[in-house]
Amino acid sequence: MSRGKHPGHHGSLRAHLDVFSRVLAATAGGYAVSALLSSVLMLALVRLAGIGRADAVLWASLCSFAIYTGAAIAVFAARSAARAWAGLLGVGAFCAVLVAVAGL
Amino acid sequence: MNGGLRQSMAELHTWCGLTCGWLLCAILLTGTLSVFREPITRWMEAKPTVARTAWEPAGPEDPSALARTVSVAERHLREHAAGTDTWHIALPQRPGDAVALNWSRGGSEGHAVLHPLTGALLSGPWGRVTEGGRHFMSFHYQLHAGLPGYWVVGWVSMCMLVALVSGVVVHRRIFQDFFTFRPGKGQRSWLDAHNATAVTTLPFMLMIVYTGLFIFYTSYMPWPLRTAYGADDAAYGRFQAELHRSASETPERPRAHGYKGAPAVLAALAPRVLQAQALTGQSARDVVVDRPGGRRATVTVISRTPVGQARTLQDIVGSVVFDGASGSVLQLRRPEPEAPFSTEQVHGVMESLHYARFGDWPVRWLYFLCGLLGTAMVATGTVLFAVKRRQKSRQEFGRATPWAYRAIEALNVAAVAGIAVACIGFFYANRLLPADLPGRAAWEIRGFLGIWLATLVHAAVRAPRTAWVEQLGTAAVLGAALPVLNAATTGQHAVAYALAGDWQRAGVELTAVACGAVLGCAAWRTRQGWRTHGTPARRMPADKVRA
Repeated sequence: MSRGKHPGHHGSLRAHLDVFSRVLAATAGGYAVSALLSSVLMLALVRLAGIGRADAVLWASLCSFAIYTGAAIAVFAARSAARAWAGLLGVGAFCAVLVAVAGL
Repeated sequence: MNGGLRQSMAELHTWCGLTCGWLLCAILLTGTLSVFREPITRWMEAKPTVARTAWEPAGPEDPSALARTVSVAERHLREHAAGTDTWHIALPQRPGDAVALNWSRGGSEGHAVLHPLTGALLSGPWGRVTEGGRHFMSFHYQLHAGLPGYWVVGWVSMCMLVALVSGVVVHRRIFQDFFTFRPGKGQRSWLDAHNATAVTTLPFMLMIVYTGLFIFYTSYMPWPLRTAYGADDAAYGRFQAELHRSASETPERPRAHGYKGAPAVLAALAPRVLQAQALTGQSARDVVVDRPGGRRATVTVISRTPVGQARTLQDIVGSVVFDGASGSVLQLRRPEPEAPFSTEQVHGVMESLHYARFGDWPVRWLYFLCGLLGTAMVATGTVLFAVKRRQKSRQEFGRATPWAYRAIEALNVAAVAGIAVACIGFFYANRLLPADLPGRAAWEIRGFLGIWLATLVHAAVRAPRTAWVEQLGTAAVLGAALPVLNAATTGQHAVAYALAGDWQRAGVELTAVACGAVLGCAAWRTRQGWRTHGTPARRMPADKVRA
């Protein structure tokens, strides 16, 4: 989403790579982060709010698509593709550790 | 920073919207038509009305008529389908309906259609074998492409959510623009139309996309479930068991056991059907007999909600399972509209919201109109992209830009006008294919897909303007002429349906005519208005040009 009003970017390889990288980050990275974040939400509902396991799964799943949307938007709002990837990896790693530590 | 965010969101909105917009138009339009899947199926089945008899009961709801219908169906099945695995009786739902029987053993199947009171066999192909409205529904969620199609629809739905959210960010003056429409001004009019339809349908669109994704959460987003229950095949079963146990105590069906010796005799079905109606408080729709000649025969009576009764979001269809020989109740599933709300019902409520399975016809019309407006929102968005670039090329694709714009124009035509032609063409395939053609239901769907492909080829060959006018015009003529086709092929038509009080089938034809009229106006406006859109000299305020 590089072109349009930035004449300097026309056809530049760098701009194309940036777009491709963001699409990949939003699609695959966003999905991974929403999967991990909704799993953490499920665990939090069980461990902290004392909600039943099945109910927690349902509510966390309900939120997961909003998380995915938010992640995709954030990837394209980021100042650069590298920052977007860094953010996704940071959140993803943090959630993965939480799932591993606090898993059911 | 704020300007930068809006700029990046505008780019995201434009490209995400365009690339997914083509499939979205098809998915939204077929989904909109799915709201009326039952009337469409009934229209396409084109079942004749059975001749009335001297003994005329009050209607299919009358208990004595119902008992008699079940008896004649049972007699036919005992004579012609003894020793099969399953019997299925589809009971008449309205005056003039026949009773339809199906039976199967292994892979072989048999069927018959009987007069509901005399039991006389109704000869020939009774109506037309068709997927009917179900075709639109299954295309809507898997594009007739099986599992890959199902995932493509999921992906496109996520893109739709992203396009909606980024569109809201881009669109700061949401309320002013809602009351702004400047017709006949080329690009401005397209932008206004896109904004007005988007703002009007935004809550509906968010709801419909989100519920659509959530319905399949165990496939699209199984990770919270897997984190909680493990990744093995039995995890889903454990999850469901816990979910249901915490909510209510549905009587489980007891395991059939201890049957020995000679096959028990299947008792008469009619008393079971009447008993089931008394137990559920709903009228019976289907009777299924499993292992009719075996030791553990069961009779399942499935009910339906009475026509005209407003339904709630927690609509549950009642059913009763009887022991075939003794007639004792094995399982009872009562419709429980006043059950206290619990998490167990969340999924069902989301389904009801998405399928418009509540509130009856006014809600369905509301969904239909919102769906059409939503389709128009996506369609105007894709057209807006092309109109902007027709006035001033952005050179996004380097030297391939003219070629890319041409391809986008063709895809726009096929996605917006072509899918309309294909949807109406599906009704034509239904009437024009012979009623006794083997595998005709599949041929109808091939016809639909073939017509859609043909519109793409047509759009690629013809000049954009001609392609738009010709395809919109074709859809208009086909829609408006649907009653003529029906009268010519089956002898049925909207007036006869309406006189018989069959407003569902009459409604299908009248709606097709109305859609034809709207499409005709669109074709005419495109023909008239193209030249003004083509003038490149229109000056645009710089800040209004987005993406």
